[in-house]
Amino acid sequence: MRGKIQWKVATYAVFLIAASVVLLPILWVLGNSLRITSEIGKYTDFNLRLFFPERITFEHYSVLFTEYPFAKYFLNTVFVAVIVTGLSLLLNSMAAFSFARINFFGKNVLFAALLITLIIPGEVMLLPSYLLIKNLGLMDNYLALILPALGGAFGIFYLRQSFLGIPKELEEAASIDGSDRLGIFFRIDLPLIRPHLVTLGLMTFMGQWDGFIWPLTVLTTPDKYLLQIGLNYLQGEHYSDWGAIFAGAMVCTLPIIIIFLFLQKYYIEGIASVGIKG
Amino acid sequence: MKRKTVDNIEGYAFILIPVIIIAIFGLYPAINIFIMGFQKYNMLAGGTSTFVGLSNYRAIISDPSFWQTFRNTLLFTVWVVPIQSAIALIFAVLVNQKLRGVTFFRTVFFLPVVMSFVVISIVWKMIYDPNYGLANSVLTFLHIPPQQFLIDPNQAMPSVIVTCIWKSWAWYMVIFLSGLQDIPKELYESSYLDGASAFQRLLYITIPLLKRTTYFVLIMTMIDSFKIFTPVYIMTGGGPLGNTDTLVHYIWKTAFRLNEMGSASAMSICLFVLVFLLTILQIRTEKED
Repeated sequence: MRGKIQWKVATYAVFLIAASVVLLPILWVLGNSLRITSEIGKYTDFNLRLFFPERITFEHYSVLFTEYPFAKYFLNTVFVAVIVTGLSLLLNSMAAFSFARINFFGKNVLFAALLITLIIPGEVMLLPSYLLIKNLGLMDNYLALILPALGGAFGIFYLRQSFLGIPKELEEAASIDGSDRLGIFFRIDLPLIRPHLVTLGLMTFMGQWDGFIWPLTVLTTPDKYLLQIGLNYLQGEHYSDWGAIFAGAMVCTLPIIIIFLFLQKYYIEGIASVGIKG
Repeated sequence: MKRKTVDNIEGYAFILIPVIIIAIFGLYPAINIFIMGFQKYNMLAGGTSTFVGLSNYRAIISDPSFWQTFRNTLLFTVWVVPIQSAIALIFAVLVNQKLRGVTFFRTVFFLPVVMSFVVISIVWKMIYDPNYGLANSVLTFLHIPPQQFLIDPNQAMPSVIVTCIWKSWAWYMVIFLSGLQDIPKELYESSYLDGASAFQRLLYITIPLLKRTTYFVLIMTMIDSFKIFTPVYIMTGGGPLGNTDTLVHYIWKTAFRLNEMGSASAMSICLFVLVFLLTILQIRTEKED
C-alpha cells in the first residue's frame, strides 16, 4: 500500500515536468508578444522576468494588422476553410450515403478505386497535382485549393461507416410516408450522424487552417497568402521583428486552442477514427 | 421506372461530384506521377516533356545529395520512432489511471498537437536562437554552456528531432490510451485475484494485448517521419551543409527551385515505394490477430 502513494507522487511529478516542457515555450511566446520591442531579448536569464513582461503592450498585435497584411491572411484562410469544410461535408456525405444505402451499377469497383487514392501519400501527389493545376490554368487561384478538397476518400469512408450504423427501419418508415431518397437523406440520416459530421468537419477545417505545403506550391501572390504561409513569409522577410512574429504565432494559434478546448471530444474521436482506418 | 434504374440514377447523382473531383485531382495525378518519373521536363519553356526512360533514376542513384537526404531521413526516423513511441506509451499508462486532474494534464499535453506545424517550427526556430532563445536560457540556468543548435551542423538534426517529438508525442499517447482502454478490465481483476504482481500484469496482459496498437504506432510514426517537410523548410532549409535535408524537402527543392520536375518525380516514386512497403507491413500485422 505504501508503494501506491510513492507511485502517485511520482506520476504527478512526471506530469508537472511534462506540462512545463509543453507550456513554457507557449508562455514564452505569449509573454514576448506582449513586450515592448526594446524589451524583447533583453532578458535571457531563466527567471520569471523571462515570461512576464515589465509592461504589457498590444502594439505587436496592432502592427500585424496595420503594417502587415495579417488581417488579409486571416480572412483568406477563414474563407477557404469555411467553404471547403461546408462543401466537402455536404458532397462527401451524399456520396457516403449512396455507397452505404444505394445499390448502383459498378459500386464496388468505384469503391475500390477510392481506396487506391488513400494509399498514395499527399507528398507524392504534390508534383503531379502541381502540373495539373498549372495545365488547368488554376495557378495562384483559390480554386486550386478548394476544388481538390471537395472530394475525399477518407471522408466518404468515414461517413459511410456512420450511415451503415443507422437502422434501416427509420428510412423505410419515412419511405412509406412518401419521402423520396433526398428527403430521407436530409431529414433522417444526416441529422442522426451529426457527431460524426462535426468530427469530420473539424478535421477538415483544421486541415485547411494548417495547410502549408500545397498553398505554398500553388499561391504566388503575397496578397492571397493564407495564415501559415503568411506567418512564414513574415518571419522570412522581417526576421528581426520578433514582436510581430510572436504576435502572429499567437493569432494563428489561439483560435485553434479555443476550438480545441470546446470540441475536445471530437478531436479525440477524430484520432480514434484514423486509428480504425489504419 | 424500374427500381433498379432509379437506384442507378440516384446512386450516381449522389456520388457524382465528389467522385469526379477524386478522379481528376486524386486518381489522375496518382497515375501521372509514375509516368512523370520517366520524363524530363522543360519547366521554363512552358512545361514540355520528353520521355527519357530510366535516366532520371540513374541520375538519382549517382546523386550524392540524394543519398545524404535519404540517410538524413532514415536517421530522423531511427531517432524519432523509438523515443517518441516510448514517451507516448509511458504517458498513456500514467494517464490511464484514475487520478485527480488527469484530464487537465491530458489536455495540456495535447496542445502542441493542435498547434500548426508552421507555428511550432517558427517558434522553435526562435527558441533555438543562440543569443536570445529560450533553449539557451534554460541551459545556462542548468549550468550547461549555450549551444548553437540549428547553426551547428551536428546539432541541427537533433534540434529538429526534439521539435518534432515535442509536437507529436501526445497524439500517439492518445492512440496508446485507446488501445489500453480496449483491454477488458476483467483480465486485470482476475489476475489480481490470482495474485499476480503489477509487473506480471504488465508483462502478460498489457504488452501482448497492446501489440496491435504498438505496431500501428510504430509504423505510422515511421511513415510520418519519412514525409517530414515543414520543420525542415522553415527551421533550416535543409542546412547546415545539407545535414537536415529530408526526402520531401529535397524533392520540393528539386522540383520548384531547380525546376527538375522529372528527377523530383522519380524521387517521389522512391518515397512512395518506401511508404507503400510500410503500409503493406501495417496491413499484414493487422491481419495477424
